[in-house]
Amino acid sequence: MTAQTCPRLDDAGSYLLRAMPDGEWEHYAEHLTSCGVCSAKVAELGVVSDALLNAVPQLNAPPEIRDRVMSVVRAESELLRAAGATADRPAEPAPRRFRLPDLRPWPAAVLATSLLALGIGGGALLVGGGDGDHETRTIACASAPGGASCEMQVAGDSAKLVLAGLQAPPEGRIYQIWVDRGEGRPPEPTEALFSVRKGRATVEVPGDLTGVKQVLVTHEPLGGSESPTRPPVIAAQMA
Amino acid sequence: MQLVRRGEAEAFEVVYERHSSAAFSLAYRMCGSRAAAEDVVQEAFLSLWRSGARYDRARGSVRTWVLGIVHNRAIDGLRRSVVHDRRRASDEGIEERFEARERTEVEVARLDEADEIRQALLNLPVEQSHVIELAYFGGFTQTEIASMLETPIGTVKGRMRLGLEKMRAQLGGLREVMA
Repeated sequence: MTAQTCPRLDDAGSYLLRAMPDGEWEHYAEHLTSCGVCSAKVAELGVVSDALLNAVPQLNAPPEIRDRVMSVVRAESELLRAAGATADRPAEPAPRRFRLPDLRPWPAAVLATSLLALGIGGGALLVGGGDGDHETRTIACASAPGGASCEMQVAGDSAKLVLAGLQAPPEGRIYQIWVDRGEGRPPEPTEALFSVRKGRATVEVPGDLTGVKQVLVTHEPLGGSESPTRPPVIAAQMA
Repeated sequence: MQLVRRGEAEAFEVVYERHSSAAFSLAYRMCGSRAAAEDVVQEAFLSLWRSGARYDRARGSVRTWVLGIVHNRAIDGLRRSVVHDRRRASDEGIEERFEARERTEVEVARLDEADEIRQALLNLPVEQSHVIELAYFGGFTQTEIASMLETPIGTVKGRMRLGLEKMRAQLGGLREVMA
């Protein structure tokens, strides 16, 4: 390639304007690593394409976006702080095409959870240990996604879920904890919203746990839900 | 950005406050509806939060980085949607309801610069400005544009490059207003 010509020089504009289909865009990006003519042109014209980002009529962002974004950011920041200085940033969410399909959640979910509880968990009581005034019981979760481990540590009136190997929730969603008091009543929402760091999370189950039969986790739209929109991905029996 | 990398929510909030209106403006220009623009901005900022470590100061300002992610997200969204012409189908008058006020000298400088860039775009031959608008703000691929305009794809690519070169020449003193 000489310093003056390249048959792909016209692609520089299309590349910068993102007019190339995805596969072709990556091919041209690869080409730029070895072609001085095209890379110089992209550098020259990139100033213009960057400037175009600002060349639109300016509007104020609606405040609702800020509330939604910051509620997730604060929740994840808390988790990061709790996980310590060596914790990773949260994993990028899975690409949209891998999203779970919309399901009618609860009938299937309750059945699945019940079957898993019978077949896998059975209320496995693993460890008892002293913890101040209360004995801590560690209970294996009745169900959890493949590859994830989950246990619930119960001490007196409080409980926390300890999770590892759990994928980040799908893009635009967050995990939410629910408590199920049985007797045909729908699960009750809690304010515990969380994501994971390096697949890990330790989350207190808030509220009064008296009469709670099981603790459930679903992923919900950012900000949480009043009633579940997805089947539970985790179920932990209280006894 | 160092603090954002360390997971400081307060630091991220500052980034959000500085750039969210520009982000929403760009997303709204591209998506044409408030709901779609909100989704794009929300996804983009959460992506930023989760990938703060990837920001490279040597490659431009935080603002350009933020808007670049918004642009990519909006294009991805537009290309996922089968029907492009659902854009601009609603939200008439949103400009009045959400019109931003100039608040700082930096904002004023940015608005002046944006006016210059828009003017440079308007000064192009219409066939060049048209392909740039369709690609950059419409999210159309070069193949789609060639088909819409019944023009060979090579011509479309050439118009894009020539248009950008002419804008570059007009904006010789272009300097990014740093954030």
